Parts: sequence; structure tokens; C-alpha cells
Amino acid sequence: MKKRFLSSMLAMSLILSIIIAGSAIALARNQEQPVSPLAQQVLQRDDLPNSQGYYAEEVTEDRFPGPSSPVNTPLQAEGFLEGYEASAWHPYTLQEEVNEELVKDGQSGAFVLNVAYKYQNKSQAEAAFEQQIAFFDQKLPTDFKVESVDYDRSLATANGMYGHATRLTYPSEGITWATYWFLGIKDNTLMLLMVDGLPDPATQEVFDSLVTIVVQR
Amino acid sequence: MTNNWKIVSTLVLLALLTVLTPVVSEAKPLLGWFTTTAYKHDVSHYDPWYEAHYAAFFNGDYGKNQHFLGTGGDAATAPYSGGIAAWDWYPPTWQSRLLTPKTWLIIESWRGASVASNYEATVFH
Repeated sequence: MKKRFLSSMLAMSLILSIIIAGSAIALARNQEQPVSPLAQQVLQRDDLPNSQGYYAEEVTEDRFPGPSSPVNTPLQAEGFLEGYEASAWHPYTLQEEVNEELVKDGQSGAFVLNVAYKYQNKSQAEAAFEQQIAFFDQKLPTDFKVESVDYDRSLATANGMYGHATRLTYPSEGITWATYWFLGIKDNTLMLLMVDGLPDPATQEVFDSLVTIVVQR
Repeated sequence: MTNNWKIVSTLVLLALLTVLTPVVSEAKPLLGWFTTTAYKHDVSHYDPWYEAHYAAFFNGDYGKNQHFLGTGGDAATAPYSGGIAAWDWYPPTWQSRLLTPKTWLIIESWRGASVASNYEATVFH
């Protein structure tokens, strides 16, 4: 009787061990993968409270296929380790009458893309930055306009970041567009912010508010 | 077999099922065509370097039979690049991104033009 009791207890212990081990494996598998510190450097959902479709994810080398651009060139640069992006649609009401006529009740918005690229060292990040800047020095058609945009440089400097902000205005699909770019460096990380919309003060307001956040990351 | 061993066998079976369940739930669906909605709407690529092209991203390749589920449905897309049925898939090799014209997005944003779940298509997964 005692032997039978002991064997039952042994079997129960075995079963409990299997259940505990199985649960631990299941729990571990359901845990999210460790999040890269880079994920904390891009715009967070809370930074875009009125946006739609906020999406953040790791950037792989094939994320932006097609011709070279300031966005995909850094992924091919020497020393590139990892990238992370956040994007969203930021709705707003247009402020200028000429643009309001294009849309229903003046309702439009801008696309926001923020990418952080990490390199093995700072000089590699700087080299990638120079490659990005070179795009804006290219000769463009006469109906294009490239302008420097002000941002709080002292705030950026205080946070160890320096960079370059530009507005590019150009015609496409019968409409004039305005794309705001911020390219910045902090240590071995390169930061890119793009705000793409109509040439309206509302688009610049979105850029101004977001670049202030980006330079403090 | 004693009652005790019947109970033990049943419990062992249950324990094994507990261990195997997460493996089963992570398995990919069988290959085939699925009709689904996009999981994100985002920048697809730049061409030329300064101009962003946007797309609805799908979990699957060789997209076809695309539809707009937002306000106005497919008919609302008609004035833009020939309507949604004529919109291109990208990249040409995988065709997993449905390119959405910029003018459509900016002018018709109130219809939910930039909302991923408003785009439905059939993809191979």
C-alpha cells in the first residue's frame, strides 16, 4: 500500500514538473521580444496625441526599397547597427484659404515619419549624416524651393544633438507640396524627422512641435 | 490498469498538451489566398529622393482585388489615378504594398484615407 502511495506521489510530482515547465515555456514565448533602446528615442504614441495610425517598428535594410534617398541611404552606410521608426498621420485644419479650397471643410493633415539609426561609432554616424545632407545640395528644378527652417538649436545643443532643418516645396500631381526634414546627430545615433503635407502654416506647426521633442531624445 | 494509473495517464496527456499548445498557436497558417485588411498605412519608398510614396501594407504577397472600406467605398477613389482597382502594388517583385496616391490622402483624409483597416485586398500568405 505504502509502495503504491509513493509511486502515485512520484507520478504526480512528475506531472506537476511538466505542467510548471510547460507553463514557463508558454509564458516565455508569449513575452514580447526585448525592446531596443532605440525604440525609446523615436516619437512615442503620447508624443502624437491626435494622430491616427501610429505605428512603430524596427527598420530593416529592405524597409525603403527603390531609389536612394535620405531615408534609405543611412541603412547602407558603414557601421550601421540597427534602426527604428515611428510613423503616423497627423490630422489638422488648414489655415490658409488657398489650401482650404482643396479639401472638405479645411480638413487635411500631414504624414510624420521619424527614424533613428544607430552606428558603431560617432564618426560613422557623421559620415551617414553627410550623405543625407548631400541630397539637399543637389541641383533641383527651378520651381522647387529649398529653405532652411529655424528650430531651437540651443535646446538641441543642451541635449547633445546638432542637425539641420529644411523645407522643400515642390509640385506633384497638380498640387504644391511642402516636406519638412530634420536630420540630426547625437553620439552614434542619427535622427530623421519628416513631416509631409501642404504648404500651410498648420504643417509647419506640426513640424515645429515634433522637432522640439526629437532634439530632446 | 488501476484507476490511479488511468488518472496519471490522463494528467500526463494534459501536461503534454499544455507544453505543446504554444507551439501550435505560433504555427503559420497554411499557404493560400486570403482576403484581409492592411496592418499599417505608412511611407513605402521615395522616388525621386524627395518625394514620399505611401502605401497600405499587407501581410502577404501578390495583392489583388483591392477595395476601400471607408466612407464612400471604392467609388470615392475613382477620381484618383483611375480608382483603387487601378492602383499599383509595390515592390514589383512581392506586391505586398498597395500604393495610395498622395492627392487622395491629403484631399480625402476625412474619409479615412490614411486608415490601414480601410484597405482590403486578397493576398497570398
